[in-house]
Amino acid sequence: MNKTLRNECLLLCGILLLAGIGYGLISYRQTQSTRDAQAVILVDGKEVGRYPLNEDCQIPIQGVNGGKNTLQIKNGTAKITKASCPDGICYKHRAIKKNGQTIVCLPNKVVIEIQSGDEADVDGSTN
Amino acid sequence: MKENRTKLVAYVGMLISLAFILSYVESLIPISLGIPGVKLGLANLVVMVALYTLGAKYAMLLSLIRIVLVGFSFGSLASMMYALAGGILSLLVMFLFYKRTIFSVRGVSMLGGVCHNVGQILMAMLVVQNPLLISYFPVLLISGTVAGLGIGLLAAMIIKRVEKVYRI
Repeated sequence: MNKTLRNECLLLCGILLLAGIGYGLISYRQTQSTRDAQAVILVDGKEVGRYPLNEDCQIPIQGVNGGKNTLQIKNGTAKITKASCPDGICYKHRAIKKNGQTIVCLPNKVVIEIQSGDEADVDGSTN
Repeated sequence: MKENRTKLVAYVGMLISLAFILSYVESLIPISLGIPGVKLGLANLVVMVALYTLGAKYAMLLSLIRIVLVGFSFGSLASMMYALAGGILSLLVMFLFYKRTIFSVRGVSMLGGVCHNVGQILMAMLVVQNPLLISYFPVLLISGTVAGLGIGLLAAMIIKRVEKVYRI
């Protein structure tokens, strides 16, 4: 085996390893959502709404530059069912339900993010 | 010498058009996996050939012009941003390796493919200000490498046949 082939195999292994470790870490952090899981809608980095995954609904979203997306929550998962963007990647993305998963519409700068109930910010508590 | 200059202009012009057409063809192929950023990178075939026959400067020029042209014709101004981020990062990394014997054309292309995707995701994370997008990294690392390998194998075959004619 010549030098470049060996190096390239090493490179491939290295990348696969990195990807594997990354995937493991991410799966570990994306625990199955609790019953309080919510789909959070962010437009241009700012939160515009959050909806619990256990209540079916359809929410229209106003993205940047007049872009529109429609979030659909059904059967405990979130999915984008309508999008005005040219590429439609957000539309083809499979439904998400795990904590930390996202569906992104880059042209409209829309991000749907799943947050489990545990991590929701607590505004205050009394003892 | 003037003839060489003309040849150069014609050659680069041809490469730009090729890269442009390949980008268009690629945009017609639906991405079946439903994960953003998984693509073949056909236009990078041309960039690789330019890199190995004309050198770094022209490869970068070619890539930048192609991305801007595509952005203005059938892409969008926003998509140009991500393509630029991925393209520039990928080229910078390839510049480090293409003259060395550590990697052959295959390997350089693999590296380029990975870095292209890394660059795009980093830019996306920056634009929507959401670090959670990092969850796309594993898939894109692999798809970038595989696509890079395929393109690299093709590029190696083309470069071998074309370099005697087009080394300017």
